[in-house]
Amino acid sequence: MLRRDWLRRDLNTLDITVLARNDAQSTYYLLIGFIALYAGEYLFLVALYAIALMVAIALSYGEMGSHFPETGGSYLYVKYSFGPLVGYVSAWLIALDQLIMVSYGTLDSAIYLKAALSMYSVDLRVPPSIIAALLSTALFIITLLGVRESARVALAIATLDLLIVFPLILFFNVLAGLNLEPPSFEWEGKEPVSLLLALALASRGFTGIDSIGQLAGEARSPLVQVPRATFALIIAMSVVSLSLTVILMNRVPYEVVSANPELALLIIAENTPYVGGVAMVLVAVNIILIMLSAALTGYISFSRLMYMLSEERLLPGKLAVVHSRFRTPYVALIIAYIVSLLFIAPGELGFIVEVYAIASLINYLLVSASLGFLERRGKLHGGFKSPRVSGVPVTAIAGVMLISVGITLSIIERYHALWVLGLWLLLGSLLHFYYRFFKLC
Amino acid sequence: MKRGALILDDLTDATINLVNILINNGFLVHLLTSSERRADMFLVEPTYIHVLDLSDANTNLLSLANAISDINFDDIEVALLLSPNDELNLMLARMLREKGVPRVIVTLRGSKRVEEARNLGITVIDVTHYIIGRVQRLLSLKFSKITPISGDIYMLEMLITGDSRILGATIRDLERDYNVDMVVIREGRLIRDPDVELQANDHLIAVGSMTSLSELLKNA
Repeated sequence: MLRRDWLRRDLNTLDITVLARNDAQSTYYLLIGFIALYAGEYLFLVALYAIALMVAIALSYGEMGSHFPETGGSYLYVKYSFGPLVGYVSAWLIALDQLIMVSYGTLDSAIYLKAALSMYSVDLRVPPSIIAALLSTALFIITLLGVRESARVALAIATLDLLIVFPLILFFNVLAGLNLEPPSFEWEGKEPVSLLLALALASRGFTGIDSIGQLAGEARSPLVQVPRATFALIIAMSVVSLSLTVILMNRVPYEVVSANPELALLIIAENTPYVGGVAMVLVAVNIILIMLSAALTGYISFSRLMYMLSEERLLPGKLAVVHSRFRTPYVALIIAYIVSLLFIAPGELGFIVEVYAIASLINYLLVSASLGFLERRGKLHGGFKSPRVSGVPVTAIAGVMLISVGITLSIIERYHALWVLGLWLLLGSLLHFYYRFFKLC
Repeated sequence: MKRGALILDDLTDATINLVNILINNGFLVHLLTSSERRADMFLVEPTYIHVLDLSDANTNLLSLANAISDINFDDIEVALLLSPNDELNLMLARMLREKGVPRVIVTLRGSKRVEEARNLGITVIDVTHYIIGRVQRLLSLKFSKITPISGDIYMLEMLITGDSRILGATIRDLERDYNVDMVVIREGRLIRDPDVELQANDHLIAVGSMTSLSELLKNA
């Protein structure tokens, strides 16, 4: 009998690129002020480290993703090389950050919304957490309606960011003249508060790039589209992030950004020559939309991951149920919605920054290691093959080395937030083993 | 649940078309092919591509089993083994049946292999049979074929030639004498009239038991 419950293959390369790009770029937008605060005059070098790490992660994902045509991303990759249990752990880890992404995306949007309205002397008396909850509700409905519609929203947001706001800021800053003397630019002598913490935050500066692998199941030609989207992502994110870092270190006094690190991009806009007022409005709108897009991608990625894990019989099959009309995994989406509200409730962005992305880094390490073992496990053919050293892809070697540094830095600096990760892993283990036991009975 | 299909490449457009058809019907396809160059042709399809060394010299059961050990056979619903190498098709078909793949379809030549495969519960597309049948039709050569329909009901298809012993017999006579139901195809027209006499180049279609049809064939 012909079945109609598989996911639609609707996404093209541009759709995949913008969905994943908004997600990963939003993390850097969120963190750039905090990294600047802790890195001081070394911000540019820390940004270079963040970009190198992003490139290593992206290439590992791109090469691995070019072999797998279905939904599941890192779970599939790790399972292929190390078996289903390790695959499950890696997927469960990244699921935490996908949920947090929904929360920080909507919460940061709410903060920028309040800041933008205050420029016009409008004081919203509603706390950011309430606004974030309303935004999360709206995004939940959009993702429920269908992934193609979600991709259109992401494309519109990326167009505003990449083709309007970023070129505007870049053009007028270059026009007014920039000090192009790295690494300190205009911040010479600004002592870092904690270089280690800056590096730890930068290690997580582009978290979200993994969503590229989650979308393969809905791509028309994933084996070629995933690596193409990966290269497009690397170029777009490197150019935007480095340019903004240089502009920040030229135009904004260190003390100003240190006072309001969560509003760094708004401060850059304010200090853009000739068009500061217009740029501020555009940046505020842009950041609100980018953060919402990241939250949207969080919804999509989490629900597809749960869909995959339940199809693999690692979690209850209810999670794989697809809505008969919209063809989206609505049960998984409802769970993402409820959990996002729990993270939003405290209204604390600082807490989210603390716990965010350590799980992702562990997942990225597993993916890079899986790539190293890919050819020992089988003879899967893919659309992208990096050079080999003793049969091991250079992308895997670079990924494992750089990500290990990132994890070490994050653990050293964020050991007190590891309880959240431990709790999440415990929940995942209980759920998995209870389900397996229940199923066997 | 996931619906997996496994296809052994026949190195022609048939595999490309089948991969497309299966994907459009919701199958997750695993393609086994023999070279990276050929594998590149499938990169635009959302399919797993496994490149195997399928040269005769290296193909034995153990190397084949190792080569496909990364596939999860629990998810494979159907396997289509279409390669021009019958030995490989049969070897792989046997292995897949042992691994519990519910439906394995192979192309084979030669009655011995066909029989062996059928005994193992493998669905066979008998290539020899199709080639011969096609040539006989194209050249209007004498031929006959008995196909199982259901239970003890079979269908006989036969071309009446100028030297046939039933030339001139009516449909009514033959149906009565051999206890079968019969139609005749003459110049593209279907003839059911029981009083029509058989002529050279008529296609005779008869349905009945194997005993009846065999008797008719023997006397034709």
